[in-house]
Amino acid sequence: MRILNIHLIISSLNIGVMYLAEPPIFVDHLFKRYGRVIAVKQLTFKAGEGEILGILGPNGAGKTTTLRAIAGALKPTMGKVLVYGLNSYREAPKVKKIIGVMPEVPSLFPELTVKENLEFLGKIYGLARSETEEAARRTAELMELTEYLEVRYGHLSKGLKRRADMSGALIHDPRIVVLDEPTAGLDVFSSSHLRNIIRELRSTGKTLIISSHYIDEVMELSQRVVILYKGAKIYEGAPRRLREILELGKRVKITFDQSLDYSLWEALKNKIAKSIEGEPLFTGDFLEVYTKDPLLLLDTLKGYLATRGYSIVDIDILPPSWEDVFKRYMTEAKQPVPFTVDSERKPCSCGAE
Amino acid sequence: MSKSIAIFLKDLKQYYLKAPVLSWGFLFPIAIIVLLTMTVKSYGESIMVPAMFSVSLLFASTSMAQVAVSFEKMNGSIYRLVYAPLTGFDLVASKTLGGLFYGLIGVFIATLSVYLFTGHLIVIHILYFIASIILGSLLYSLMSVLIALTLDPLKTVATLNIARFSMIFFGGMIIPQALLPHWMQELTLAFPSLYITDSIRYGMYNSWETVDPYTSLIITLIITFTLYIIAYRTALKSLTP
Repeated sequence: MRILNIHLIISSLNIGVMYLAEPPIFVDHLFKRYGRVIAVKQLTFKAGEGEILGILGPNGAGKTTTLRAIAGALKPTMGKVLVYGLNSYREAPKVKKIIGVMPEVPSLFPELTVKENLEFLGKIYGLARSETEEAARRTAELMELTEYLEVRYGHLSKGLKRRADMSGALIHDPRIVVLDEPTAGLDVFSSSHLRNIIRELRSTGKTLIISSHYIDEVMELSQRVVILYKGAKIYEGAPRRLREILELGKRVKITFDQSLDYSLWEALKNKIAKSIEGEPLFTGDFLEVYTKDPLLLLDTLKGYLATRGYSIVDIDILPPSWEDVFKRYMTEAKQPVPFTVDSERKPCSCGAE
Repeated sequence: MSKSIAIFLKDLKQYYLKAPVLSWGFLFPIAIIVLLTMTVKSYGESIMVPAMFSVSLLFASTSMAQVAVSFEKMNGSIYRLVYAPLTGFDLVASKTLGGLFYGLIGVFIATLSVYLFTGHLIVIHILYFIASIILGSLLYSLMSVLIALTLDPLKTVATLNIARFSMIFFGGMIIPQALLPHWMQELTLAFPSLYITDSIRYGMYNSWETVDPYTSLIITLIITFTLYIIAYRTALKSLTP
């Protein structure tokens, strides 16, 4: 027993040294092929201690494959993922003790109660009985699930299931938390609650990797994002930097006092065509456009509409929405950058190469 | 091993009353046993009673692992196990334990049924009989674990049924090898059920049909070990491609 304890202490010290010396996650030229399909191409990025890193991309971009490789649940065809210096696939059992994963779909055991699920997960993560009970209570409290502990997981609503999934991911108090589509299908209250939990986890020094289709959510939560397209990285950096690169201008929302008829809108559209970017969004008494010079646009509109008996009742000048930033970036990145990628470069230059 | 036991206990809690487990694991073998009792007088007790035990063992041992793995694959909860710090051994051992447990229940049901229908139960070599039952149950469980882990749930049921029914009719379980057509007798040697049934027969009646008892036991042991190695190597790989 004493030998075992000494061994455990040495192991802990080793992991402690690792924590200091190695980044939490280092995806190193990860390449994954499923038969003829290449899921991930030479992907390289790092995640720092206490960082929230977002992984974005359209369907089939390789997000889930990347998350699985990080979590040690996938054998890379080439390349590797290091978690605090440990190879995530070769040393999977050690790595899995450091990582908590919330899979894309509700994935606890439907016939067991929430409490039984959490206690079971505690056992297979190697926690002692007393630790398991304490961890189940702690994570259930964190996720506001205490009153549902005795309810079967299969009987919970989707929102509660995702909260229980999150509790399951946190049961062993992992240093790294991987969240695959954490708020998919949740109502605004559940999503907002989960986002708050994610921020709270970050404040405890955990490293979080989030993949989601909800662009705004990932951009708001993450310090850095990695954007994947057809398995290749096309952007890595701060979300703010992405806005700067694209120079999208300002998003201007204008509400008119009455609905503009079609012929008037056509004439107006021609009038402002030079001062706006992209396709305007027009719904009769509402207009949303992107422009580099909002004041010039507003002067033109006011002057033109005043002579025709219309006026503007509300104006909002906002930064570009994350969804528009993402869509523009994906459109401009006409083809993925194969194999060698410089992070934070303007995607429109890719096609020219 | 503690992780395997935790998974095994969780599986028991979740699946022990599931319809496929009850129907394939217990009801079907009972129906077969009832049918076989009618043939005891024609073929002799030493042929048909071991067949009843063997059929029970096969169906009970294979149904639990099949249901546990397939259900978890279908509802996605298998990924909780994939993301947990488990080895291939933990995963295979946990699912095999479930099969072994149900196999033993199946044998208990067969014992009761045989006693009810024949009024007695003969077991001459008790230790040999127990070893045959445990080894046979392990072999069948590992077979179903391997099939369920590597194939999708629908293919699992089909493949397992092909294997089960082939063993019943061509694997020396019910129809003794000597009564099969000559070309099929060679084929029968490829079925582990032949050796398991003969081992059970020796344990109960001190007789065998095809292979001597110790060779049967050794062959069963070799097949079990081979299946374990394949299942161990395949377990996590099949779930983490």
